[in-house]
Amino acid sequence: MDQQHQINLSEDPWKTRETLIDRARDPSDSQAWDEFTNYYSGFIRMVLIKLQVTRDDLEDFSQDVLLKLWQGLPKMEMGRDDARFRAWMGTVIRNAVYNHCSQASTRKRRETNAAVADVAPPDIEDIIESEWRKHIIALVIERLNASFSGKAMDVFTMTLDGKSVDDIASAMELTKASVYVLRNRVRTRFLDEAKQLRSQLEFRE
Amino acid sequence: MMTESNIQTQALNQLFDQAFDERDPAEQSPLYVDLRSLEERYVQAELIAVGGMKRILKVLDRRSNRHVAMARLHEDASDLLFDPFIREARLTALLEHPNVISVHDVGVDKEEKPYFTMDLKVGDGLDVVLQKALADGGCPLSDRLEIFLKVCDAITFAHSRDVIHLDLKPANIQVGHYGEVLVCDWGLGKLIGSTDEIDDDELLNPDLLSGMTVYGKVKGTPGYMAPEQIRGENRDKRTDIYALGGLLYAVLTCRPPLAGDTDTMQQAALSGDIVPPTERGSGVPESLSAVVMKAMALEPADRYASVSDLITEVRAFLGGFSPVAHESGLSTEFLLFYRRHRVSCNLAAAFVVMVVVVTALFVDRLSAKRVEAEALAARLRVEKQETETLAARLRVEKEETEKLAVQLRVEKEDSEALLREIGLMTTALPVDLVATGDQFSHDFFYQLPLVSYELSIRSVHEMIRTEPERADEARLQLAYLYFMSAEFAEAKPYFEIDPKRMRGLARVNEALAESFDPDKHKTSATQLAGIIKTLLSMNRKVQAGKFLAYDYASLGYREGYGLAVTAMFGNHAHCFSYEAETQTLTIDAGVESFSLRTNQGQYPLRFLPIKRLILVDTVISDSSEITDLKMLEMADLRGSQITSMGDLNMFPQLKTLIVRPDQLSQEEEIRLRPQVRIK
Repeated sequence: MDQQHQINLSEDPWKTRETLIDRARDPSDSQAWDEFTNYYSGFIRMVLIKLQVTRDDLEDFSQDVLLKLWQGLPKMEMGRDDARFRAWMGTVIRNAVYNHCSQASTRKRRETNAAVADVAPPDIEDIIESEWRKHIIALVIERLNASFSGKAMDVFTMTLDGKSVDDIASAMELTKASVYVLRNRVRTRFLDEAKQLRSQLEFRE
Repeated sequence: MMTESNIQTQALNQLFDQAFDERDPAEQSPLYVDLRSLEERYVQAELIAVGGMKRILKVLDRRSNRHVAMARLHEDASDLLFDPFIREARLTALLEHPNVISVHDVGVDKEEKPYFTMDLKVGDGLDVVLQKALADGGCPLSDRLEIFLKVCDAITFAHSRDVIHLDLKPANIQVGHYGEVLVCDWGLGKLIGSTDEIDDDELLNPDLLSGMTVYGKVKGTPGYMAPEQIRGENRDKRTDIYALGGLLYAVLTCRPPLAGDTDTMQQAALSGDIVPPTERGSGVPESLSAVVMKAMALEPADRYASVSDLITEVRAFLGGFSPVAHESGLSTEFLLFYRRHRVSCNLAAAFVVMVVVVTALFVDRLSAKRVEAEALAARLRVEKQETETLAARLRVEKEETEKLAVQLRVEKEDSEALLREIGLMTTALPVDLVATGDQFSHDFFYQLPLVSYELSIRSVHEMIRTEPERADEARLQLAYLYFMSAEFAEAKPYFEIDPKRMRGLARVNEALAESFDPDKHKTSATQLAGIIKTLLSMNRKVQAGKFLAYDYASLGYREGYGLAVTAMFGNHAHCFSYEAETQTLTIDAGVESFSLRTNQGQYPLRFLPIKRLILVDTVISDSSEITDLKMLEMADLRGSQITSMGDLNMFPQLKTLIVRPDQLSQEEEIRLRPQVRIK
């Protein structure tokens, strides 16, 4: 398992000491943009869907937001606090949404004469927070699935569901000691992966 | 499901939040946390033994989580004993050997008292083992000696580290259940060397010693303690060797070397008054007893120089050799050799016996065979001589037989021709023919010329004798007969009696009588042909026929006989050609017509062996003309008028018949086909 872990780390694009933000400052690094898009586009789309952006606008909108984030990254102040990153991200997205909506509403007003007053909902911060968590957790689970056996993952899932070690041991036909070992292994790995992804993608120091 | 999902989401969110938290090591490594938080290392103390200076406790080492033995000084022990105690611990720790008890930890406890821990001993002390062996006979001598050798190993090792034990005795040797042997209690042990001397003095401090007597113990144990040790003199490795001697004594006899109270024992030890082990226990090997006595010699110089020497002696015994200490004789050595190699010796002995027996049997059988062979040879010699005599006799007989055979052959040849005709005559001739005196009948002469001739000669001579008046007439007959038999010289005088009457025959005979002598050479076929032609030209066909018949009977077929035979056909002789090699007779008559028989009914062709007959152009129309050709195998009938072969029994050899396509009738062909090939 340790070996698998090692291999996984070595394959990890984030393992380089150079962070994405460092690379974003380098205009010649075209790969950096691709990676950024890869990690953020899904998340931004989800946020925008939650913000009830219409399907028609979704593509343009998310591209717009991605670009703004990308451009804003080098200027962002780094900090230990992830809240700061999310706050910044919230601001960027909110502004982008407002801009977009105002442009759209101007256009729409011209077309339909209807007023669109308050497009962005006030709880945008919460939405970003919740979607970001989901996004990171999904990425971590994806990585865990790649490196652990189904049995280990089952034990982990059952633990998450709040099942007792005894129940898991009898359900999986394992000894309690094995359940402990498997559970702890996956849990530790979860924490490791979450820490790594967050430190990279939340642009911590 | 929904709630579960919520619980899961919550748990995952918790993990998300904990990503940057400090990890609790206890969560992953409870043992580590446990070990880290350990305050008191040794717990569950349990007293198991009390010694002169210290107590032994069984404790649980919580760090390694096992039970170990812990040695502590007595509660009220003097502080002066701290260092000797620690020295013992370190001395023992120095000796890392499988047969020396291991020290794990040396330290000072909360009460500022020193302690050390070591292997928790299992099994019994050797003293207990020996007592049991004495009581119920368990643990045989060989096992006890193995234990002793392990003790020797430990002491050898200690000596190599310049450590001497000085308190070797059965009670200080621990024997485990699986043959583990541990030498314990190195409390009196010391490092040989100048630096150690001060400590040694300190140990001998009277205060200390008196302090130790509080516990009623003497330093060292009588019986195992060397005299120099008792006297408090210089102690060295040989002091341990004395103790090992005592130990071997105990191992052999299962009893301590000395008995009685301490003073008596000390006195005995000092005077070297030791009862040899052989006298203390039954079944003690004499050789090992000698080893004990040498190891326990009063003077250190008389003992073994090193433990390894002692080991060598004991191993020699175990290996079946006699120890050097034991002055064994040749018989003992032999006995030991036998014991060492019992199986090999038995096998070798059995083999030798077998070889001897087999050899003896073989030699016996051999001499019997030789006697037999000699008898046989003698018999053979006698038989050989007999055989030679017999052979000589046989040779003589054979020569005689051969001579006889030659004679018989001559006689046989002489008589054969005559016998044949006589046989024929007696069976085939009608009696009346002879009886009537018709010896000159042509047929008779033709058929049996020799017999006929013989009979005629006799009857003529008879006639000359009985009828003198007809003698001349008879003599004429003789001339005639002699001529027939080609005895021209014989015939000549008889022809001269009346030459006219014999007409030209007398002249012919005269010419022939002059030309050759039948006694010297036979008539050739050419001459025969000439005579026949001459006779025919004189129109004496009968005489010619008889001449040929007699000639054939007396001389038989010879080269050129075909000419003689065909000459019989006179003018038609040119129609015949006979090829002797293939025995083929070709008859080409052209327009001439004649019979193959003479006027007298003779059939001259019977004197020729004819297998192939070729009729080229003849008027022969009846197969009866050729029925006398008994040897015929092939007949070419195309040049004849023959249309039927008649009775096939007449031609027993006939195989092939060559005919014109329409020559034979259909019935005749059908009749002949199964027996002859028809072309």
